[in-house]
Amino acid sequence: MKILIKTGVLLIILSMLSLSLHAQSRLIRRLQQETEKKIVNEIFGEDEKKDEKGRSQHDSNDRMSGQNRRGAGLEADAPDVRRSIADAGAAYETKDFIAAKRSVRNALWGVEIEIGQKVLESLPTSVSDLEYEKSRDEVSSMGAGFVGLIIGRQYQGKEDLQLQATIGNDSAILGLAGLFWHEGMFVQSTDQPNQKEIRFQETRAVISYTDDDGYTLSVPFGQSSVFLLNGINFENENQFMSAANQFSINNIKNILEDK
Amino acid sequence: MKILYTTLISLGLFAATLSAQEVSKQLHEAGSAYDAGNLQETRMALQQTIHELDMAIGNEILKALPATLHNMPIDQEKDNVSSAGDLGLFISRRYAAPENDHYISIEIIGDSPMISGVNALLSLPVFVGDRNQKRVRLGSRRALLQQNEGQDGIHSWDLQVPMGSTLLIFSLRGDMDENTVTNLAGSLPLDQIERLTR
Repeated sequence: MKILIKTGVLLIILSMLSLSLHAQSRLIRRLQQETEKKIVNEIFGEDEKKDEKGRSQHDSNDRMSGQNRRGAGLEADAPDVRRSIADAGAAYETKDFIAAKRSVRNALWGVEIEIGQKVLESLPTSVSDLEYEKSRDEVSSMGAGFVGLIIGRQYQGKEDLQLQATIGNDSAILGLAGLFWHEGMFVQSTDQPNQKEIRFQETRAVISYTDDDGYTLSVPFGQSSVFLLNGINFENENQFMSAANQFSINNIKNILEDK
Repeated sequence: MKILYTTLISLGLFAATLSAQEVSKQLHEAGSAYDAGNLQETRMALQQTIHELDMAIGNEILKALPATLHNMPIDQEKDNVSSAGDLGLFISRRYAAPENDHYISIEIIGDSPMISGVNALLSLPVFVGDRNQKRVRLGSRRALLQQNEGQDGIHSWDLQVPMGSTLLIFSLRGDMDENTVTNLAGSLPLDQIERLTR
């Protein structure tokens, strides 16, 4: 009987132990699951939340930064010359001189754009191994004035070769420069060994060289025009002049009617 | 005397009509040249039209200026309007006292890109270092006033009034104090001048 009681007590203890172990194991598993979940959340969930928060804050900052991130720019728009002339006439009839002048300026700007485009069409699209960059073609003007009409084209070559052609026309400054030139006031000097007078396509011109700007050819022509060519990273004067000779000063003179 | 006035008025009207005809003629020439594809002719006619319009604007400004200033009548011979296309418009008028060599002159250099730079300089106080110079206000405008003393002891004043791309120079010689100078300058139709030269 004593043995039976001892065995019963032992069984109860064992069963309680077993229950306890089972409960402990469930608790441990639960703890493990919870811990894993916490860790996963810690690693991914919170970061995602943070990322979302960060991203939204970043987006918000971008929106508030005032920095443009989109836009296709302005469409090329030339004034309607006929319309501007008609508007000028109508404004003048009503003695609105300011509006008339504004319309005449618009018309003048439209005409100068057309002149500039014609000159650009006459320029070569490739010079030696350099190709022109259409997006960098430029026509700018302040009307008849100090600066006048400026036409520019840029060429890019392999590696770092660059050529910039600029034509200035109808400018008071160029008129003075031309006067200076035609009066023979240009003096060559041994102080400036990197500049010399040459003849370029039957026109007097000056070629210069500096380490910073490379070769520059200046050809004043007509009453108030100039042709400028700047070559960067050309090997020598011959290579630069060979490129320069692919431009025709006569063509430009004819289009600008400044001979 | 009456005949002289009538003649002068007739001449003025004739000149105005001639100028009006000139603008219309230039615009017509510009249109015809453009239709014919002659861009350089068009350009020249338009440039000439701007010149004619400048002359018309200059005459409008002269008309807007007072007939007398500080009891001095206009010195008609000194009225001048000249234009060099977009290089600018130049207008001048002088009021002179017949009994002495006191005078007031007004010079307006308008619609010139160069003047914008001068105006910017004038608006910076750092450039006003001379004790004979000071910045004054004419209504809502700032101006630069300079006092000069002539060898004969008579003061003269120069007041430079920047207005957009226009510069008005108001010069006076005579016994006037600073208040008189600024009041006289303030009595000029500055808004109208600015509007016409804009």
